[in-house]
Amino acid sequence: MITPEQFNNIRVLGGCLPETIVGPEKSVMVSLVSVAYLDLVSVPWLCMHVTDLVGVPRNSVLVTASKSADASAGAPTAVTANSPFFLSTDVGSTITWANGRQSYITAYTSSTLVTVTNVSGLTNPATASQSGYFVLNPTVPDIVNTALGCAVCGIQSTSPDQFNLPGGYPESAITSSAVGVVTAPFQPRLYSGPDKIAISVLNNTRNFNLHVAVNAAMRYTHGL
Amino acid sequence: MLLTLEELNSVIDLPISMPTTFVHSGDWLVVASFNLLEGQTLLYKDMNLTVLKASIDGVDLALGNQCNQFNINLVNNSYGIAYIGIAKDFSSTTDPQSVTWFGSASDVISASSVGTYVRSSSATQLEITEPGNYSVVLVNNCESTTTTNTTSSLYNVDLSMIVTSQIRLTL
Repeated sequence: MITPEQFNNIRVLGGCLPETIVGPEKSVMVSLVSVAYLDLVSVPWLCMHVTDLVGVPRNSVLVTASKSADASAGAPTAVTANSPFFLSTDVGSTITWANGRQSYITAYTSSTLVTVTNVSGLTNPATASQSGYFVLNPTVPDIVNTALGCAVCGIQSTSPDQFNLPGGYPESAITSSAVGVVTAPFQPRLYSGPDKIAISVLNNTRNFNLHVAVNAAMRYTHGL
Repeated sequence: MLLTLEELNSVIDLPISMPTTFVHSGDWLVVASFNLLEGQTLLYKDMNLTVLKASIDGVDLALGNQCNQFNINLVNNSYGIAYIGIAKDFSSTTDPQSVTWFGSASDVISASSVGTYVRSSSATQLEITEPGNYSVVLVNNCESTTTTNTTSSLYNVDLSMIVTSQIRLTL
């Protein structure tokens, strides 16, 4: 049984980070506690929701150039390779190419193939038509620490301000490279004071914005 | 009734806390997420949604003023200008229009104007035992003029909102 005195010495400190955009290679501290001498902290609950790995704007995919119109003799200006750009997933939205020509999306055939109709000027060399397929090359994440996924959320002790440095990843972490919810599978570990315990979330990529929400609970027990 | 340390360790009260946040017309935000495993229980009773300010194309409505004097198109006519609810296996790229909100009508808190809206204290506590990923999602229910064919009388309504809530997890 637990005595009222023991009960009074246990606190649950929550951490809640609503959906937030974390820039490439940046981290956000969700919660930080300073643990006094003889006191104990455990993290019995940690949950991360990666809501988007691409970033702004919502409902878009990040793609590199499409190729099928590049070499068209009928095109008055060659379409050069585009830098990665956001392509709206809305059918009917417009792509403007490097030469100023425009196409609009008529359908998504797959995650890497989109059907477009050219507004003017561009002709699909394969079909000699102003309608055709464009092959997309979705940009892949450029991971900083390849042992972990795109998003990392975890517990770090002693020097939370070193979180961004190489090798400074949290010692107990959950990680994900996909959109979705991940919960900490680890057993609650007791961190004893004096120490600083932080729960942080890190964008482990060099080229994506990370949209993430985190919920955490820290159980703080005062020494008797 | 006596409390054991085991019982105490299996109950976690988690805050849901969103500081003042600007949500654009028609947009939505995941405020919190919970992954519920087999044998775990989620209890939801309290929810406070405060709409601090509504920015209607240059007009800022402070607390206490009404939005409905303006011509606002609501995306979902079942709710007010903003609402918050719990969704199972919510994908952030999914339009909340297609989401089935968990629980009954009283579990979705809807704001009809600027002000504070709370889950009724008489409403039954919502108990969820079905395993899955649950997200608390805040929605600005005002139609965005950039995504629809509009007349000049339709306004974008960007909202500054605060959410305060709490759930209890029994592990």
